[in-house]
Amino acid sequence: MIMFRRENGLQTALVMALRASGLRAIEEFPLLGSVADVFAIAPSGETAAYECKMSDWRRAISQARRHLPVCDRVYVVMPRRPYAVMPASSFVEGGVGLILVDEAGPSIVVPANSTTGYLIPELHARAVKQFGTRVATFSLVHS
Amino acid sequence: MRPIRHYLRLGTHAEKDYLLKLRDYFDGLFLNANLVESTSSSLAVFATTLGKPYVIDPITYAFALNPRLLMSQPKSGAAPQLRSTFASLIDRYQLPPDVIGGRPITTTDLASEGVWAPFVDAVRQYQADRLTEAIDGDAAFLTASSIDANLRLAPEMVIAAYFAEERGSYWSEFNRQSINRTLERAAQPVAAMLAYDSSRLSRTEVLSLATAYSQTNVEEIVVWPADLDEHLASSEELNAYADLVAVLASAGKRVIAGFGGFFALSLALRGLVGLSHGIGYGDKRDLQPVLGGGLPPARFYVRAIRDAVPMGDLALLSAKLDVDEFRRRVCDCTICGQLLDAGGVTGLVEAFTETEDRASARGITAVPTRRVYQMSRFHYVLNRIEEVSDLRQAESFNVVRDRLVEDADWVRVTLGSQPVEHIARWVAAADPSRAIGQ
Repeated sequence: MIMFRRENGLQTALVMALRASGLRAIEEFPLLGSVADVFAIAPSGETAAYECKMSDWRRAISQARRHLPVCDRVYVVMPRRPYAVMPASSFVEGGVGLILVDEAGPSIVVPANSTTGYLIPELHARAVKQFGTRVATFSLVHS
Repeated sequence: MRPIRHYLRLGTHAEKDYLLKLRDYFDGLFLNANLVESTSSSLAVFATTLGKPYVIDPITYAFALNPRLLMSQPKSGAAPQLRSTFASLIDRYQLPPDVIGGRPITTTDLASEGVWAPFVDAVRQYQADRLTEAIDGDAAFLTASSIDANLRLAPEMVIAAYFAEERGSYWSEFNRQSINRTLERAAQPVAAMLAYDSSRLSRTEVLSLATAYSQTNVEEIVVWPADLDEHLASSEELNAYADLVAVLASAGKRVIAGFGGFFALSLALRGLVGLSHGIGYGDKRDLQPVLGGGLPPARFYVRAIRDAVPMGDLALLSAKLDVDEFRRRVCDCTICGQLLDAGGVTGLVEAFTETEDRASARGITAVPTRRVYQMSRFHYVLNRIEEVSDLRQAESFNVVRDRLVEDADWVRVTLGSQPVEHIARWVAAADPSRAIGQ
């Protein structure tokens, strides 16, 4: 079993998996005055934010929910631990999904619903534009 | 109309602009002696220009703390030095210089009348004279109209030298002597500062303090339940604070909250007559200063829960609101009103969530822009001004309670229960029908 000691280990594993699936993904993306641990855009244009936490799923839901107005889907990402009790209903009610990460990689345990109820289209568009700028800057710095 | 005096605390010189722009909407200014001592001329000019009554907190309690907290930390690796401001205050307060800097001052150090009496007198004199002295050298900066205002440069009241009350009444005798001596000799009204660590004293001990201070001859009492975070405090702590205010007020004392948010303000329904707080969400202050840590994240004061939330929560709360609903449910202050007029709810959220990239040890980090901090602070103080106005005019506790509960119910639907949990504790503690001690 993979032992993630820190959140950034989770972030890195997630970003690698998302990129392998054809999504464009970056870590530490500014959203609504704070930072999403990971932000990704699928080839379809659908956006998703991911809040990575080693523990405290309640706090993770509360933090992840802050991304609802600017993303199509929002997930909490945590390491898979035996005996961990995280009621799926809490994630569903919060409007966010749950991804658990283990040696096989990330897997969606609770699918995220569309955030349509909270989405603010102008802010969503701003986030997509900023994402493009970030990716371009990142590519320039690392080329 | 309920009399409530609203004081703002100047924490840093960067906050002057807020006070000048809002000068018509608050009653007085609180200054800490360390800020006064480090920049007395500048503050004297500012106080004169502002033209508001002011109070200097002599912060004498600081000398009973671990001296490490009063020292600067040189980056060069050199040994920490007592900050020059505190060294200067030690001199001006006539404290024993051989004690300070090496260890906290104790009651034994101040046991002799030959030591404590000059200290108490010097603390009183400092508050009475320090800014007036400083203005002499800076009169050239003042316009004719502000020189007229110079007549008001004497403080509204002087605070007797004090130390934080602890379990076992360690400083109680000194504090009582200090109040009596200051009352005997002051030309201005005198206030006592009742500072205590709310997390370490039981409700019974807090009530004993209330009884003891009720029996002093001082009319004004500034209460400072240090370490009390209104939003996180237990019912026990909040009830103790409310009882303290009620006991003092029932003894005829004029009680002012030295640091406080809406909960402290709601104690106006139990006899509180004044509230002081800082500009940047300064609703609380610990006895021990917070060292380092950098700029706190920008937050948005949501009046519906009387608390500041991360900007992401503002976006969540706003997502389903149109402009009129936002004005009614969230805020209609000058800052929010202008943003709503210019860009609607979306424009407002965009403005409050604006960030800029900064280089940091972790690489490029997005941080809120300076404008976001400015707007959120103005918004916060404007809301507090409105809250003071509402409390002054509230017909009864029931009106205040019903509004709090209704607002909390609305926020709970979107943000969940956690951000509104304090409301039930506040309502129970502030209820004037709750008997003292129950």
